[in-house]
Amino acid sequence: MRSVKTAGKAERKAVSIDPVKLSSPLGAVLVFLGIDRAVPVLHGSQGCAAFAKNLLTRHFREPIPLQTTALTQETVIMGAGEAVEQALDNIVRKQSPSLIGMITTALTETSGDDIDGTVRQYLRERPFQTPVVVVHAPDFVGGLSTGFASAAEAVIDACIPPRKDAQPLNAGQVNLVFGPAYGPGDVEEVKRMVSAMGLVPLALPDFSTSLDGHLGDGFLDVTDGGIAPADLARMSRSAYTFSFGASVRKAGEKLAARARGRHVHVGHLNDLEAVDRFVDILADIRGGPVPEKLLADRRRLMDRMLDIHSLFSGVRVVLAGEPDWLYMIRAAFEGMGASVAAAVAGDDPSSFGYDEKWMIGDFDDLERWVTGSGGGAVDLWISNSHGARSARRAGVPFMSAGIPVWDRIGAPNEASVGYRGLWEWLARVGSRLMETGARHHAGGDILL
Amino acid sequence: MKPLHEIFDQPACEHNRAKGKKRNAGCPKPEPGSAMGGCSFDGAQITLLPIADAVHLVHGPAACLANSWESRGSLSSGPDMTWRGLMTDLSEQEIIFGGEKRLEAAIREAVRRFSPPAVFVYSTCVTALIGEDLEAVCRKAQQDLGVPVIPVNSPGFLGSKNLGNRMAGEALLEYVIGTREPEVSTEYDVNLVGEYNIAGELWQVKPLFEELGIRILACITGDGRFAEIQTAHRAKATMVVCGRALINVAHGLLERYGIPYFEGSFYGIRETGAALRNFAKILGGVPGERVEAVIRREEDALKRDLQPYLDVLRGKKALLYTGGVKSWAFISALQDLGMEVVATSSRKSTLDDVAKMKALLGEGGVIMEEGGPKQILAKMRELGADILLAGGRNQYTAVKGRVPFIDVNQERHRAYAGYEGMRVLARDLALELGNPVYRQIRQGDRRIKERSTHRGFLREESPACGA
Repeated sequence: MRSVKTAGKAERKAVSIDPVKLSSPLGAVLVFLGIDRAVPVLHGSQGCAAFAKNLLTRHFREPIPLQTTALTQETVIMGAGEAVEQALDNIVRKQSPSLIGMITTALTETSGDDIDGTVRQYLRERPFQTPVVVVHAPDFVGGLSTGFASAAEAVIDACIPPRKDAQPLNAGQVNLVFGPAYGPGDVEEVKRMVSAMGLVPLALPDFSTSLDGHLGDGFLDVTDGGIAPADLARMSRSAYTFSFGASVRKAGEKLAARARGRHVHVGHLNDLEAVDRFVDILADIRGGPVPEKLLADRRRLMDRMLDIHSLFSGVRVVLAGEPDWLYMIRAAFEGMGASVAAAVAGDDPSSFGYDEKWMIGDFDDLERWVTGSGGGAVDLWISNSHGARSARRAGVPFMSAGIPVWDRIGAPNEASVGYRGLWEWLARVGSRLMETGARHHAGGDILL
Repeated sequence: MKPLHEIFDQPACEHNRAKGKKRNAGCPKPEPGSAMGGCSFDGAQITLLPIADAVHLVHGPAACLANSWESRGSLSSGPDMTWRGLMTDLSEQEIIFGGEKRLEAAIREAVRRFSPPAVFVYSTCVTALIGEDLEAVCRKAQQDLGVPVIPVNSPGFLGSKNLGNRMAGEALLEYVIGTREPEVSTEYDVNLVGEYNIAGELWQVKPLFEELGIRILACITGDGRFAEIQTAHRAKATMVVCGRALINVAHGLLERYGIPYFEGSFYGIRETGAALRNFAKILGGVPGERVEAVIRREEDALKRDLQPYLDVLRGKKALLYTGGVKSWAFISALQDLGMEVVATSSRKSTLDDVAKMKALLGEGGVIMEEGGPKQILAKMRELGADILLAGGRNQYTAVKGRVPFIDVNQERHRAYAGYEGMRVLARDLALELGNPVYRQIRQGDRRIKERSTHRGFLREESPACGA
């Protein structure tokens, strides 16, 4: 991976202005939304859930079955045990979910509430009850990616029992553990590639069937799609486990260990080389040639790369988002001869092993970097919809991606990975560059 | 700031008038595992964020602001601080050892960057729990910086959004209103309280006031400016618009400054007329004939403009699922359009509100208690409702239930106030009810789903698609 000129790590400002960061509990909620008939619960005051629900509803244009323990000052001080039991009783009675995710917040982590103890006792008193997975996700440690990773690991710990000796590995079944940068469209694309290779994919979380925006039969107050709990349990039989994005690398390793199978980490699938490598590995697992369907997608991708590479050549972009996403989108731009002039991460990249010098900061930092001396000419600003106003003030063409996106339709279904996803991404971003008349800076970074 | 029990003690709010144990219970407490609304912090922000030139700084860990900024529908004609997200974003260390130093520095930096006329500082659950002294930090910052720095003590775990509205109102009474004199004062200065200029609703009614020579001295807080709200104590009348959540501000204005108030709404023809007449009555100097002339002119023009829609809307059945005052105010608006309201909800409504609902709905009207999406859809089927009017949260209830929907809550993008708003509402309702997507989905779904086996031949002679 080539090194990119970045602005370096900024000093923590006295005040955060226009945050790129999203909360850790929000990331944890996402994981449960990729499990069929699940209900995530935020263990905090009702606002914790209302805000998260509102944000996700706005992004996905879908109802989000998020619940709350609705703590009040009294229950926080006197002990939240009763509120937790009441919440679980209510949810089980009214929604009868397959699985409940009980996610802590800054409030309950600060008050020192013993949620693990409460839930353990609750389940002991009510055997054969709905499983409850506890996730610790204090807002004050990390951001969305941190909470997402914690939840993925917690689900693996709680729902996927280690493979017994008597259970043979299933050679044709592969686990796909997706990080938060993979939206419904990306998950669908990777699953499609794996299926096309003749393998059976099991995805955790699987947004491709839950948050893909489909009209089901009436209103459901649990998730309508996602991986079924029975399939979750079957994951310990998979010979291979792939993890996508460094934030879920640990989760992938953990899952592979449960199955006593092999683990393959995929940093990104956002340039031709990386996708070829992925397909190569799948073909090794399956044994046999690459199917015509994928080859056709690959031919289209190559054609488009050549068609429009001059649109990207020498272009400089700035990015703001979660670390995995920054890494993926940077690869996509660099693969086309463009460069990332500056990037702001919403969560600490180093905690996932990234050594890139992305700023950890807010939209205000990026805005000031662009307008300030360090900025120079920038052709495109890509971030979630919150970045639009900053980009406009900085005078840089804007394009939304990540979470939340509310200024465009269909963003969750867009893909940027795999032959086909990348092919679509090139059209989207290329069209935007065309529209804005990107300047092809002579002074842009020449990548050699 | 007042102790909490005094804030609960709102003599003008019926939730407190109950006898015995329930007296002064205040706003109802949320129920674990089924609560759906926002918290008190959310409520405080809804009330104060529309003050578009002040800095709004959230003291707490990330989620309270990071997940919520830029999500409200209030519009501003000028400054844009409503859509900036400032927070202290406390780290674990700061939560353990105290975040007051960081807050001090944050206020200083915010004032340096934006030179605002004031800073509102919001506490959150965590900073309240660890006992941060918000008032002291704000007092000191105000002295050092020479800018009003206002503590808003409304952490989420106090309770509901309504209570947060009220806490924000308290902060305005305590720290803002009465701290500046208006440059000129007239006999026709009024306050609007609880009008947030959602989607520009204030701007739909403002021209009426201007025409009648009534000046809106302070709108609390839609398209608000700090300096205007400071002068609210010099108004001659206050209207509490669509919501009792800020009744404490109106009551405070009456008690402290002797300003009379009334409750009203700008939704619907009857209500808009009533509001204007009420102002005329209280202000005295505004000639009743002039008010009547304006109302007559507007109603006549409206009648003409609504004609094409009335045929579509007449007799259509609506289920109204919203909170507080809107649950009756919108009944009136929909009835003005010839529609039938088959049910409404009484969540967040006061006894007065419920009484008004009953009066408007008559014998057959159904008043729903709090209910989830499933109950709403079931009720719609039961009563044969054609359209759901509810908050944005229920937009996807309607989508999944495949029923027409209009958003009537605070995140909405359409303005429905005054006579102008009625035109918009009528048009939106007619377009929504007549939209072909509903017919296509209903019919197509039946056809495709019932088709289970391959028949192997075309039954029609010359089949056509899309012809």
